[in-house]
Amino acid sequence: MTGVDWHPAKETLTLVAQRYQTALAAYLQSGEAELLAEAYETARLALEAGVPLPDFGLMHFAGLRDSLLPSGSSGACLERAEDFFLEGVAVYDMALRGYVSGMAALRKEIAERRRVEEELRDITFELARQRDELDREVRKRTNEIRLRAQELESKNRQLVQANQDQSNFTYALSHDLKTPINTLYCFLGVLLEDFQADLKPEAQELITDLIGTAQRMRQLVDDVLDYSNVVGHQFTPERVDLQQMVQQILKDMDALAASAQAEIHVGALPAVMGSPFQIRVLLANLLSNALTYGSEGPRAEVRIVCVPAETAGKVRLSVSDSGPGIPEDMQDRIFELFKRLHRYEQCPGSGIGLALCKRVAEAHGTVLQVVSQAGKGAAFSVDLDLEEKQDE
Amino acid sequence: MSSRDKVVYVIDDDRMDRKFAERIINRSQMFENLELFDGPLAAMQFIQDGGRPPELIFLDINMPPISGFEFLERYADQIQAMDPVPVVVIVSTTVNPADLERAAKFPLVKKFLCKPLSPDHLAEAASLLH
Repeated sequence: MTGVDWHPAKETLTLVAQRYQTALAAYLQSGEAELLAEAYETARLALEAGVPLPDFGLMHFAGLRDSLLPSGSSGACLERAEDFFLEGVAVYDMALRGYVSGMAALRKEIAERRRVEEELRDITFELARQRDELDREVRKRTNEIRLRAQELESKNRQLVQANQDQSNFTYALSHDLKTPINTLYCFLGVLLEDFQADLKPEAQELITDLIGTAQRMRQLVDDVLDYSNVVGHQFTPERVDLQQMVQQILKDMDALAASAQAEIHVGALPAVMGSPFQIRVLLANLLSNALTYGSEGPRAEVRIVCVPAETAGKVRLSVSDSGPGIPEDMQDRIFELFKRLHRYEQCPGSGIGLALCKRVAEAHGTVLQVVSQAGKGAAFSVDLDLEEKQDE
Repeated sequence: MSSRDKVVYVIDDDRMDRKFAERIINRSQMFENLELFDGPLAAMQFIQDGGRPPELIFLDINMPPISGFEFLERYADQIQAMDPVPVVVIVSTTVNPADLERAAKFPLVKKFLCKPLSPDHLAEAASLLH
C-alpha cells in the first residue's frame, strides 16, 4: 500500500517545515551566521524526503509570512530571509546539478555500452560465421574420412573373404589330394605285405620305390598346406616357450635324430612372443634340415641356442649344424620356393621348408639369416620378441 | 579287452578307404562284428531293417550327399536313443581347423583321427568303449 510510505513522508514534511520556519524566524531576528547552517540542513532533509523545489519555496514563504506579519520589520530582514532561502535552495541546486552531470555521464556510459555491445555483436557474428565455416569444413572432412573408412572396410572385407576363400580352397584341395595319395600309399604297402612271396625282387623294389614316392607326395601336400596356412595366417602374438617346443619337436623327430647320429645341443631357451603354430613350423623345418643335411661326418653336431639380439627386447634364436654348409653363391637361392640344392635321392625334401621359414620370419617382423661357409656348417637365425615380463 | 563282440560301423564313401579300414580292423582282431557302409543313409537303413545297432562308429566327414556332420545333426535323436549310445570317432583326411572345431561341438564325437586308420587308432577307439 502506498499510504504506508506516504504518511511518514507527510509527517517528515511537517517536521522539516516546522524546523525550517523556526530557524528562519530566529535568523530574521538575530542574523547570526551559524543559523544559516540550519537552512542548509533542513533543505537537505526536505530533499531527502522527496519535497520538490516549488514546495520547498512554499514552505519558505509560509514561514516568511508568519515572521513578517509583526510590525516594525525592516529591509534588512528581507535580505536575511533571502539569504536564508538561497542557502536552502543551494542544496537543491547542487543536487540538480549533480543529477544533470550524472545524467550526462549515464548517457555517455549508455552510448559507450551500446558501442561495445555493437562491437561484441559484430565479433559474435564474425565468430559464428567462422564457426559455421569450420563446421562445414569439419563435416566435409568427416564425410570424406567416413567414405575412406567405408572404402577401407569394404576392401578389408574383400581381403578377408579372399583369404577365407583361399583357405577353404587349400583345405578342400589338400583333402582331395590326400585321399587318393593315402590310398596309393596304403595299398602299395598292402601289396608288398600280402604278396611278398609271389613277387620277384625287382617288383618288390619297384613297389618300395613307389611307396617312397607316395610318401614324398604326402609330405609335399602337407608342406604346401603349411605354407599357405602361414601365408594367409593372421595371428595375435602369444607366449611361446621355446625350450618346451624344441623338446617336443625333437621327440617327434626321434627317428630322424637317431638316423642322423648327431650330437644335439640345446641351450637355455627363453619364452618369446609369436604364433605358436608358425614358430613350431619354423623350428621343425630348421631342425629337420640340420639333421638331414648337416649331420655328415663322424662328429656331427646340431646346436639350438639363444643369444641377446642387437635390438633390445629381442633374442636371436639360431639353429646350426656342422654339415657341408651352403656355398655363398647358393645362399640366396635356398629361400626360394621349390629351389633345392640336392637331387631328391641325395636328400629328400619338398623345397618348401626354407621358403616357409622365411615367411614365418617375415610374419614375425624379422629376417631369416644364414651364415655358412662351404665345409664349415650352416647357421640359420631369426630375431624374436622376448616375452614381456608381467612384473615391472 | 571285451571289445570283440562290440558292433563296429565304418561309414565312408570311399571304397578303398572302406577296404583299408576293413583290413586293419580284421587284422587287429579287436572287433569281430564289423559293418561297412558307403554313407549314413545305408547305415540307418540297415538298422531299420533289423540290423544290430553300432556301439562304435568310425565316421568320415566329407561324404556326398550327406556329410558326417549332417548325419550327426539329422539323426541325433535316433543315435541318442540307442542303448548303449554309440561312441563316434571321426576318421578324416581333413586339415581344416573349422572341421575340428565343428566336431568338438558334438557330444557324441569322442575322438578325431586322421586317415589312414592304424592299429594304434583302433586301440585308442577301443579304450573309449564302456
